[in-house]
Amino acid sequence: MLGALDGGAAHGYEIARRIKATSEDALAVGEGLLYPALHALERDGLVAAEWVPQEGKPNRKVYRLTDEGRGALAKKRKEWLRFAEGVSAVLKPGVSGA
Amino acid sequence: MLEAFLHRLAEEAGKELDAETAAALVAETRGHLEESIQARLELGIEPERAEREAIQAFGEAQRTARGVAAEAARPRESKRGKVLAAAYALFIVGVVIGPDFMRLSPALYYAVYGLAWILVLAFGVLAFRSRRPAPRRVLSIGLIATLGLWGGIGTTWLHLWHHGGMGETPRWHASDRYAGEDRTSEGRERREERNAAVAAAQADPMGNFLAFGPETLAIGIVVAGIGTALDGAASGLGILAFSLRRRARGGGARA
Repeated sequence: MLGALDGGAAHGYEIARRIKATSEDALAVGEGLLYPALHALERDGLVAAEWVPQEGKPNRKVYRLTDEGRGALAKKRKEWLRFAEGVSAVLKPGVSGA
Repeated sequence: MLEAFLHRLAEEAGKELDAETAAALVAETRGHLEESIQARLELGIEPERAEREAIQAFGEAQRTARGVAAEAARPRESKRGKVLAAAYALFIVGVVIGPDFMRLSPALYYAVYGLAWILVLAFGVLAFRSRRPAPRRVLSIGLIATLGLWGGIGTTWLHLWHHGGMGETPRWHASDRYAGEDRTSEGRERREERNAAVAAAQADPMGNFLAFGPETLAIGIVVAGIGTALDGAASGLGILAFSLRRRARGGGARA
């Protein structure tokens, strides 16, 4: 979700859409499960949220990354890439013991 | 169908959450489902099916409500409290060791202070030049260190101010007010008393600090605050420039 918000502020549905589109449908979780996670990120200060007024419609809650969130995202990206490289190396055909 | 789902969500949320949070969750979910339905309608899907698929994609109301409630109940890590505690601890350390530190090695004292100031400035420069904000940790460490060191400086000045000077050369040596003091035995006695007081303050800064009382601590805090604020202002300009730059680029939207 932090990665989805790296592209700019978004409301819940847009975040779900970005995750699904960017992952080419590989990541498609129940959209309702985004909200507990978003609330957790907001409590931890990694995202900030505000209700944005809309013309003729109810207000919409929009989330954006905070500076701490960007730092956490950068850290997670690094960790994930390292992990993925390790797994790829182990799964490579011909690696002894694999 | 949509209203029935939202009603179910409101019921489940009402069991788990306070009224305000529950209402906000229902409002947010309504917006989500309306967007989802609209996207399906734009694809040509008929309204009833669009509503059904949107609700299906969202998942069970109970799961969402319980998930939000579980997060609300999770204890929040108090980072702010830890930072304040660290700042306070470093301030006390500065107060206790500052005078001794300065007396033993003024060069090292100012070198450490200079390093803290460089850390604060580094954040300002990085924030101004970089596309991404520099880690807040740099700023936090710099500001906390300057707070501690300014606390030491503030109380060092206070310890020795009362005795007429700092370091090896008390103020009165160069002051016209005390010119000619050496000519009389009373004057020499007074000078020896002041020198003894300076030596005592330098030998036992904590003891003298406690003897001065709470007003000394209060003034030391004010000096620490002013010094740290001035140092913080040096990086504040960099932070402001970075914020303006981000705003000009449209809130940081990136592909």
